[in-house]
Amino acid sequence: MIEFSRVDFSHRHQRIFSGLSLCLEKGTFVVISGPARSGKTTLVKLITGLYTPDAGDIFVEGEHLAEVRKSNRKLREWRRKIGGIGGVYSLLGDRTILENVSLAAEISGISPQLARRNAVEACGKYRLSHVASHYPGAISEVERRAALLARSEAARKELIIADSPTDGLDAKSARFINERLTALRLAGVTILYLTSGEGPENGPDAHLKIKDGNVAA
Amino acid sequence: MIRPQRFFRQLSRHFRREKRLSVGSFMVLLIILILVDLFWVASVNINNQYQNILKTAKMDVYLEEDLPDSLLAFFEVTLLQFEDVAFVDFTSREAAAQMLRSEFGSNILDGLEYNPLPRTYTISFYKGKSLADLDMLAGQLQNLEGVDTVDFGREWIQKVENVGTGLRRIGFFVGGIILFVVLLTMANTNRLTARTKLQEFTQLRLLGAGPSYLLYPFLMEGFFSAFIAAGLGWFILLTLLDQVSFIDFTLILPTMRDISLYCLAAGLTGTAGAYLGIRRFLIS
Repeated sequence: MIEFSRVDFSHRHQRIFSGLSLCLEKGTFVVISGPARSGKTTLVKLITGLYTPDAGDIFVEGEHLAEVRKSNRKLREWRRKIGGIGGVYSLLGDRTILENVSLAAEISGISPQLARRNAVEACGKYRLSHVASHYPGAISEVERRAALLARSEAARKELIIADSPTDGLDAKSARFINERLTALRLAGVTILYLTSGEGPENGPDAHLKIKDGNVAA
Repeated sequence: MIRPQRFFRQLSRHFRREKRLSVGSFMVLLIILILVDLFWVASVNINNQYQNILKTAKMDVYLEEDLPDSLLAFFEVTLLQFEDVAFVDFTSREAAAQMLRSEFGSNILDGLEYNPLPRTYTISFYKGKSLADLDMLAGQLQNLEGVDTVDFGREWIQKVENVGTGLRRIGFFVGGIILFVVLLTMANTNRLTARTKLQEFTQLRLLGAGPSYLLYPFLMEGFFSAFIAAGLGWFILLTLLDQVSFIDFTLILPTMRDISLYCLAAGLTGTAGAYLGIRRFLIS
């Protein structure tokens, strides 16, 4: 689904990736761990086309990302396949949880009625029904993260990027998030899990580590 | 696909969140547009007065001393043959002297050996003639044999026309500035709002929203702010003018069609301003 081939990337004169090669197959659950400032969020920005690599190639679904970026339509279509939790992905503060959950589906072009029905269903699945009419600022952190997953599920995302999804959560809440991600993977969704810790023990197909600007097993 | 409900919902959300900024820019627009309305009413009415003066303009043809009375009938027929001349009034020397006495006293001409006042034809026209037309006619009349001088209050008409021309020029200048200010106000308001929404824009872009999704609420706010400010401006001005009574003067006001077109133009200007403010934030 995503392939990095000898990608170099620097940000503000600091080398972050050097010859990074990585392959993320469709339907797999891959954990990439690395310390803070090792480039986890940069990886997300490269995948979503927010950043452009200095050198090397990134392919998404067989197409060069540079080509995808040249076409606004293709870039939108690519981004519409990606959901996220943590890192660059967050909820919109001036919309209720239900509106936030239905947002991605709505943007994807699903009819508002269907988007809302999917959102209501996803809110139920993620135990958010009781806070559906609340704003993000009025609910707990785990509920906010669950809402981000619900948003991805309501929009039937094909890839979910979880950027430190359990950081700052208690063990029970972290387990809940990890279980939901594992369930999504079983439903055929590709999961890229980025963490500064170890990541979930059960479920992932591969555990990789960011080291010296590259990823290794 | 553009869904009006969604955009109206976003517009109201947008307005609610940036309430102070939106209300501030709306008030600026309202004040500017009321000034435009006032200027419009003033220039339309001054122009109307100018047209009225032209409509009622008369031309006095003073005859030479030695023109024999026997030629007066022929002279009158000649005058009536000029274009747009409705009728001519003849004032004899005696009638002129009588008018002078009634105005300045019965002894005004005492001591003079003879009546020096000229015989006069006063020409009235069917329709208003421009200053250029009046000048041309005066020139033609002046060339007639037996005509001493021709007078139609040229200086006065010229002054009124100068005021009208000046107002039109100021109108174009002020109109240009107003257009610029409306554009600038909307552009700056939207630029400031967009800066506060950068994170939201990133989120929407990450979810695959296209420029139109981000753009429409801003364009709609630009359109409606300026459209409503223009309409409200007229409503306030017309209400105020309704409270003021003008003695012997009927104010000419724009028609509903004019006001509607004006509001639409203001709305479109607001939309353009909003686009200018937001376009730099639309990159993917």
